[in-house]
Amino acid sequence: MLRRTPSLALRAVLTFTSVYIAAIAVFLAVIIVTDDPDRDRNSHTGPRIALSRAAEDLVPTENGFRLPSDGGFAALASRNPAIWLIGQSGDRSFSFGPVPESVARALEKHGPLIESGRFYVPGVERPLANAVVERRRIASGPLLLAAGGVDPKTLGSGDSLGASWGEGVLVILFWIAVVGFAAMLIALPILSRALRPLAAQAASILPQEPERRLDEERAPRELLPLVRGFNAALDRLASELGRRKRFIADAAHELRTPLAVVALRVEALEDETDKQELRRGLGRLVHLVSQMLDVERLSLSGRERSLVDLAAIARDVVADLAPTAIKSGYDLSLEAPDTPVVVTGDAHAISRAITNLVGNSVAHGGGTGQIRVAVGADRTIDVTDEGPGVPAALQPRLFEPFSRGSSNAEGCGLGLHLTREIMRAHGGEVRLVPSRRGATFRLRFESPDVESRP
Amino acid sequence: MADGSRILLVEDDPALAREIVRALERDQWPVDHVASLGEAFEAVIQFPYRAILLDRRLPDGDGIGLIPAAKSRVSPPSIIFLTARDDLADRVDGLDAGADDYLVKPFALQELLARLRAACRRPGQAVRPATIEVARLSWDPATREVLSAGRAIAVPRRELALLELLVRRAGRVVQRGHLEAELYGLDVEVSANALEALVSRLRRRLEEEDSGVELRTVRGVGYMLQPC
Repeated sequence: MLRRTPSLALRAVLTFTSVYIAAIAVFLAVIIVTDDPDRDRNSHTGPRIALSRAAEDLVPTENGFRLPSDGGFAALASRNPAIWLIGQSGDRSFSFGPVPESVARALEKHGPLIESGRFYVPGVERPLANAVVERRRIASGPLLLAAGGVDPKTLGSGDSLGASWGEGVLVILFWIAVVGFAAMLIALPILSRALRPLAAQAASILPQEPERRLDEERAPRELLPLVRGFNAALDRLASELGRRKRFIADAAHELRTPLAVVALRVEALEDETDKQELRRGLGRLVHLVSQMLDVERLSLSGRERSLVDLAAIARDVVADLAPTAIKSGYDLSLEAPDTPVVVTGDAHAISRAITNLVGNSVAHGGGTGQIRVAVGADRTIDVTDEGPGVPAALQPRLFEPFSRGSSNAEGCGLGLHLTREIMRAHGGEVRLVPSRRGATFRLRFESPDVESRP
Repeated sequence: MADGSRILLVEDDPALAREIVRALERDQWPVDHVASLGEAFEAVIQFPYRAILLDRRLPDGDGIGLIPAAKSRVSPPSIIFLTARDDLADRVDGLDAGADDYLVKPFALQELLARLRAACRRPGQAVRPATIEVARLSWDPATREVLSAGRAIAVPRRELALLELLVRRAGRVVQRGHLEAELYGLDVEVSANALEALVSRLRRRLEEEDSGVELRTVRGVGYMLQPC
């Protein structure tokens, strides 16, 4: 296919991706706007960092702890002359830097109860600025640590308590996007399978059954507007088709009364030669009008169907047409299986379809030889003559209305067309079977169980 | 003309009505014409018509509506309805409503006259069925006598039964199944080749007697008696 069909799946993926990216962008913007770098860098951020660094650095000794001079705490201390640290672990304790007296006292008094927090000095509402206390568990056991005296200005960009929560969320968002994308790639083909029943229904609507519609009950809700639109379009087409069919039927119908008038006038003529000529012309007109009515009537799918025996119908047709065929110089014969060949159909219409084929052979079969009607157990009917066959030039339009073999032929050019319309209405077909001599037309019917659709 | 020999034509198309009236008058039928159902009712009540030619599509209703009124008369007229619709349902409707016959427009004059004659004859019945003639062969249904070129010929019982079946439908194909059922009843086993043998015997006899008829076989279907 040269032109690419716009893919709904592609659009779904693109839309989903764009919406997802937009959502993340909005989310990040919110984080950036609200995530003030100084938010955490308040008076106790410094002490909290100092405390964390100390907990990482502290090395237990026999009677206390030692702070290595190359650790993070040492680095922080080098920038903060006022930094202080207190540690208590069981009976061991240590201190570093100028510890405020109130802190030392508070720790001494409440130490064992403290989990983590800030220092509240009795009588003062706000916690003691620039100091934190926290119970940590390090290699040697539980340790109560207090730190303070860190100037926030001395904190560098590397001085943080760990990755900001925004970064973690970003990672999660990324994985959600990957999994979502993959899920969508898998889900879309499965989803598009939901369209298949509808597509199959639409494909099975034939021109002979303009009353059929897509099933709105079973259509996915999202597709309902499309299905309704499609059905409404079919409604409009069907009503127009109905109007046209009625028009043709009415026109053919209305022609009958004036034809009757002419027929009676012709009979009143004195001149026998004129009378003969007019009778023949009139006969053709009458035939044409009734064929036109038949095309409209017999090709409708709404006609009543029943199980019929093709062999019996063919036998009646051959019996009816034999006198004419014999008078025209032919031998007419029927070959049929002994058992019935059953199809679902309209006996009257099928009889017309066969009659038209035999009539066609009588008209074009060369006026001699055999016309054979053969009913096959595989629900086919072959009508074969021994005439000159159908000229190649005529074959493409053979079943079109008003295509005629020779200009002097008596037919009106609707017979084979009517046969084709009848066969279509039965879900079957008529075709010209290639043969070395003569012409063979074959009718093929559907099996009765296939034909019985809801 | 005696009372009750008139024909009533109920037809709203003036041109067609004029032609039918002319045609009937040429053939010596006294005819009255009305163009609507209302007029038709009045006419039917006032006169004892022999037959009514009734169009179905009339400006004031379906012609069928007239049938009950017409048929309620002491000597009801025969009713032939004229229709432009040759749907089976349409014809059945008309016949069910009590019409005796129908004609589909456009119809040949001969057909109209023949049906009219048949409709008017129907109640009386023919006293004696007519002799049937095919070429030089003639068969009298009353006496079951067969003449060939005016000479009586002897035909055995079974062959005669077959000849009767064929001669009654001369020029048309009589299906095997029908012949077998008529000649042999339900004894299908016997009939398999018996019918063919019987046909060839009768065929030979007809040839020998120089009857001018032939017995054609339509293979797979049946047989047909026709002039050579």
